[in-house]
Amino acid sequence: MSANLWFALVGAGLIALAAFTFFVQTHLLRRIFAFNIMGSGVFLIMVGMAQHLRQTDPVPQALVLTGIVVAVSATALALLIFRRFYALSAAVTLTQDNDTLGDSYEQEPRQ
Amino acid sequence: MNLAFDVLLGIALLLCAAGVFYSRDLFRAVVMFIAFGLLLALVWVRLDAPDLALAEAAIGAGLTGVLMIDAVAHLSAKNAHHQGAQFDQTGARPQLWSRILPVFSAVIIFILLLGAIWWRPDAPVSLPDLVAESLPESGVEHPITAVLLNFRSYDTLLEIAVLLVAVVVAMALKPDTSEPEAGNSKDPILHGLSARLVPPMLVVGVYILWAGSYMPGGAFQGGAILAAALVFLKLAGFGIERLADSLLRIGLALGFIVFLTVATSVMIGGRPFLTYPESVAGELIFFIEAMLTFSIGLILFSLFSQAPPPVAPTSSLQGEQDER
Amino acid sequence: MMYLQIALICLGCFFFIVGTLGLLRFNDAYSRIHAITKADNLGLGLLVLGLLPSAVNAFQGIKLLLIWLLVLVASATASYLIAHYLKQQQEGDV
Repeated sequence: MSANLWFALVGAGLIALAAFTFFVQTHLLRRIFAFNIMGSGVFLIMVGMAQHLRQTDPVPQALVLTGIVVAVSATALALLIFRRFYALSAAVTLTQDNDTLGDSYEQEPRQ
Repeated sequence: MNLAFDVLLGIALLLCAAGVFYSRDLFRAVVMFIAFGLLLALVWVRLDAPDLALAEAAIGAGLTGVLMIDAVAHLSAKNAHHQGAQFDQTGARPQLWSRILPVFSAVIIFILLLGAIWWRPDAPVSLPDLVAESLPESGVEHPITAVLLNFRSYDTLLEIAVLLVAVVVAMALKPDTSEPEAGNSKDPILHGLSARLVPPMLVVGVYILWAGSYMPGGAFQGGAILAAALVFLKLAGFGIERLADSLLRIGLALGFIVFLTVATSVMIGGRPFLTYPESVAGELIFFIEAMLTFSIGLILFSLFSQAPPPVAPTSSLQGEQDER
Repeated sequence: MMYLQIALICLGCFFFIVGTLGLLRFNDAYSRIHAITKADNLGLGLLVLGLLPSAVNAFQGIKLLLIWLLVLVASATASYLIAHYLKQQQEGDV
């Protein structure tokens, strides 16, 4: 098994893990993390698959380079929107994710 | 030996991702995220992609990490900070299918991806050969720069447009209360370090931009280093925002405008959109890249600095951690 | 020369392992900083020293040394900032 194929498989694992997190975690920051890491998984698959059993391929690498920069700007934007949302509502989850409104931020800190 | 290292690296990557998703508190998650980014940079080195490693270390781990730490510190210590891995906060018993369904769909996604990787179609043309063939007429010697700024320059043009849109939205989201941060204590050691370290950082950024035409490097990596230097200056308490604000309006759009101008002005000579005349292709690409570096640096920095000042949300007390 | 390089690199790795062990096992933030700076400064220094004879030209050697120097400066400042912040926080709490 070549390193390229192995890292493509790791990328698939990352995507599945991030998708799972996206479903089960309600905290918005965790979802932003999951979104970002899912992107990294996609990049791994792109480069890994393109180079599997072939030589180094500059085309997917250049596309992924573009993708990394777009991913950071998307993440930064998501974080900004999250902060605005938090400043306005003091909530860290979307309300329809919880059955009872406001449960997530009125609990006692567990410290 | 190499295989063992790769396997360990891949497993560490997955464990780090799991740490980001399910660690106890958010700060831990961010630290795991930075570790994830650095490991991913190592993976890019293993995949023969030094450009991506540079970009990932500077942008994926560095800048994204700074943004995330900033956002987590923004949440008050009182709430939200310790909302770790509880899947469901409600007292009601979750229904069985709401547990099974996520696992089921994640497994399905994984299997589908495995299938897609395993039974992939063979490529009809070999892209690396094609790139190597037409590299001499691109004006640069490094294939990735050639792809980015000549063969697939559409992508790069649209990418800088996306960045511009992101920063415009960020500026629009900024609340009106733009009072200067009072508690910006100047730490003498941080101040002194940044005063000495930022000039070399700028030199390295320009060097990487220059190197991009014949070896790994280029506008994105150089821009990321420029942005890191600016963030560093801001954190060290230099009044960089005021300076940046006047520079910002020009600088943000400069890369996009120059790129678009060059792309359309070649049409005067009867060429299609975004194709450079071979004789000056190298110079044009370098000129565009220099402007792009400047713009990307400013855009990434302003995505950081446009973050709203710590405003206490309505129902909670702001913690102590924004004091420093 | 080869054996000297191997010995230096192994020693550097040893310091990294010890530093990481200290980072994981110490229960006080100050001791952790102490442990991890050993890994950064000494471990990386030994690694750079071990790799230096393999440098193709002088330029590459200077780059290697520069990496060490920058990490030294950055880690010293970062450790200072963490310790300083901790101290401030402790004094604020009392």
